[in-house]
Amino acid sequence: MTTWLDAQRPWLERARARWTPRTVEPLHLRIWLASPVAYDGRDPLTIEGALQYVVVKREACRETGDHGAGGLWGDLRQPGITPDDVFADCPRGYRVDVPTPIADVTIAGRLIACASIGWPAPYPAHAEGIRWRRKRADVDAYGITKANVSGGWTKALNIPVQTLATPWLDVYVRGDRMLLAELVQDTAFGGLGRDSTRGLGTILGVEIGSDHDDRSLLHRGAPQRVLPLVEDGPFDARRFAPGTWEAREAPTRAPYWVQTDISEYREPVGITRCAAPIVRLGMPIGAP
Amino acid sequence: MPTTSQIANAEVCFSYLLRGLKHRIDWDKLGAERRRALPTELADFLIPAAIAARSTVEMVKLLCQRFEIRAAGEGWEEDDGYARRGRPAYALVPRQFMPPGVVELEAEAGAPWNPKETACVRWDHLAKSIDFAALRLAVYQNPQLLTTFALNPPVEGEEAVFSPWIESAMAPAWTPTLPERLLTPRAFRTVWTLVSNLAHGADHKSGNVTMFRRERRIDPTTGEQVLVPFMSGNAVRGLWRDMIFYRLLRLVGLRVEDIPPRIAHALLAGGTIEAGADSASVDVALRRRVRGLLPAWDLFAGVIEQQIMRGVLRVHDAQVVCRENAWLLYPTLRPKRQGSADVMSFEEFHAALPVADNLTQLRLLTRHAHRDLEDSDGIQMITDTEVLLPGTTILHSFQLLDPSNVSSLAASCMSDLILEFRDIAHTGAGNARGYGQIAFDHYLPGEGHDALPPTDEYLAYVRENRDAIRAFLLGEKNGEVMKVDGVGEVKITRSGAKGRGKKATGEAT
Repeated sequence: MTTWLDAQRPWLERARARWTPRTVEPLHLRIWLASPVAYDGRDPLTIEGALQYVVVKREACRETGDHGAGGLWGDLRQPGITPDDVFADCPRGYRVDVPTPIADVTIAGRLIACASIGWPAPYPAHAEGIRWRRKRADVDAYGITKANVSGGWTKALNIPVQTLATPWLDVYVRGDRMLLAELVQDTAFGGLGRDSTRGLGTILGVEIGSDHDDRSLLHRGAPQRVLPLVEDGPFDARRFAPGTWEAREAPTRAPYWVQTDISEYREPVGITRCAAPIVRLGMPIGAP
Repeated sequence: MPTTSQIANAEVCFSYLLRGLKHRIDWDKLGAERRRALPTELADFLIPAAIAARSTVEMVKLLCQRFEIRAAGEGWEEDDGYARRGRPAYALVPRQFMPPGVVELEAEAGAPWNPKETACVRWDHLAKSIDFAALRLAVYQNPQLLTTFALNPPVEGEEAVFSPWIESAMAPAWTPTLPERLLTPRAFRTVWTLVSNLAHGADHKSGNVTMFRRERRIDPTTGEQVLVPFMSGNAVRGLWRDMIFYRLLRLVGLRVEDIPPRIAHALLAGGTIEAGADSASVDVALRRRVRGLLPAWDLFAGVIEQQIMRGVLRVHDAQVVCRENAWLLYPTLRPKRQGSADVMSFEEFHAALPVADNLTQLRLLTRHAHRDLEDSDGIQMITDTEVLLPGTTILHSFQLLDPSNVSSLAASCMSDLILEFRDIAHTGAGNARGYGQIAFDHYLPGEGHDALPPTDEYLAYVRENRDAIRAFLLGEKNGEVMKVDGVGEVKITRSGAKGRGKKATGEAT
């Protein structure tokens, strides 16, 4: 019997062949933002999930070939499926590791992407804020005799979204420059974070340069991303600079919201005790 | 852009100026009720006054008009005190906060302040010395602080209130930074030109003034925070959602009232996540069929039949073309010099743009009391709305998830939506009062990319599949298999109306 995972294997194999990094070098990605990005002040901003989204869209969603004689839109009659839809019927307990052009290391038996969190522009060039999202039912038009706008399915909502206004996010990775350059120009990479379909986290563009300090995992003794808490080897948390991290439960592999324990490769990927970097907003870099 | 220290200085000086002006309020004219509510009214009015004015002196004028303040005095009276009516208003400013070069009034014998520690300055001299751009930001930061300081008597050590701002002036030097070699995801863009005033309500009310929506942004050329008017992508998305689905209903000959309320809610407001709408009950077949049957749903999506779906359309915030946004507009607009093919330098572009706050004005709205009518409550209502001025230009853009992943039908549907938007040509609030009229050229995809396809395909599709679409929307023919052009066989799996209210009526008018 064909399982859900069997059905995904063709595109997964294709994705691995195309998007696994071939040449790895330390890179600096400066992601310029045209609008504030949703940010809860605790879980850091990361890009691996966004890159995975683009890979899924390119490989799992419908192939279009050379677009036919009718130009780009010419031979596309069927609706495409979104990356969300690809995983919509994924059975519980499955976890598919989607490759990106970012190299991995293994720490405490877990695959960790060599990608720092997104660091906002240094003080004073960032500010926290709230973006309110309003939604109301057009009850006058629905042809109903009575509607409750304070509860139930016609409830009017005014939802606050915590945001961070910063002109850019700096991300340091070890990865394949050419492949990354291709993915970041995809429209699927046009927005970061929550509510990116409604104006938040709009990406103006990305600059890719070299990262001479190789800051993807550690920089001056400070963890640059969520790392499993270990007490030996190069990532021994006892040697991390104090005040730059906190110990807490956190997921270690994108997509970070998936909380299953074992990946397709039988590797642990779920939430574990980690050293998580602290982003100090409103303070000069280096301030305790 | 004002520096942090300029903002701090403006805040200090204006606080003392406001306190001085308080002594010139004509309390009889103001009335007991307004006197009681003065702190609230003043705090609410400071931001609108800062928006409406173009200089500190003009802002003082607006405050004087509103609060019956006689700043200029009432002619000279030979008196022996400084707190009496008659003389122009003045402020007592601690010397540590005195702006350089401002003329002081001489302290006469018996003056109720210590001339060694405090300087007496006439209101107009002090107002002239306050940087207005800095004052606007200071007022935005905390109008309540200014009001509380001004309306309460001096207390010892009160200057400490301003200390944190003075210390914050010691921020590290900022290196101007601009994007240079951007790899940019493709987006469809256009520039709206406002034909009438545009209103888009702020998150908070300021008394009887509805401010334009602003958000704190960072200018990477200065590292400073700026408050920039904008129109949220969510607002435009909601407007477009209404337009495309009302148009679809018209095309298939239905009214909103005809379809089950929950389906109407899903189409027009994106639906509601209710108990059960989680991944445990994902119906992939239904999701794909809805996308296939309704190209507009493919674009906007939402929650339908307990299925949480994502659309392929990403609508961006509308960015006002103003100096504060110059850095992010420049790479996109690549502005040319007038009468030349040469691209302007960033500095030229930046200098040519107006400051955002100079692009707004207050628009008065009056609801007359109509006391002559028998049922009138006899209350006249006056409100102000801050609007963007006609002629203002606004950059707007959207993205389709990717052309290679969006069906030609959905793209054609998007074209239809844009044409509908161009025909209606209104956005924002208060359209019924003449606000929000815009004009724009077609959204373009940028150099080297394909434009959106014509609308013919979408319109032909809707015409050919009218019955299937109607049946789905009406909740009829549940379980029946219908053939949909380009999609194949569609099993109508809707379970019909679940909500309260009218049942579907079948045939439409």
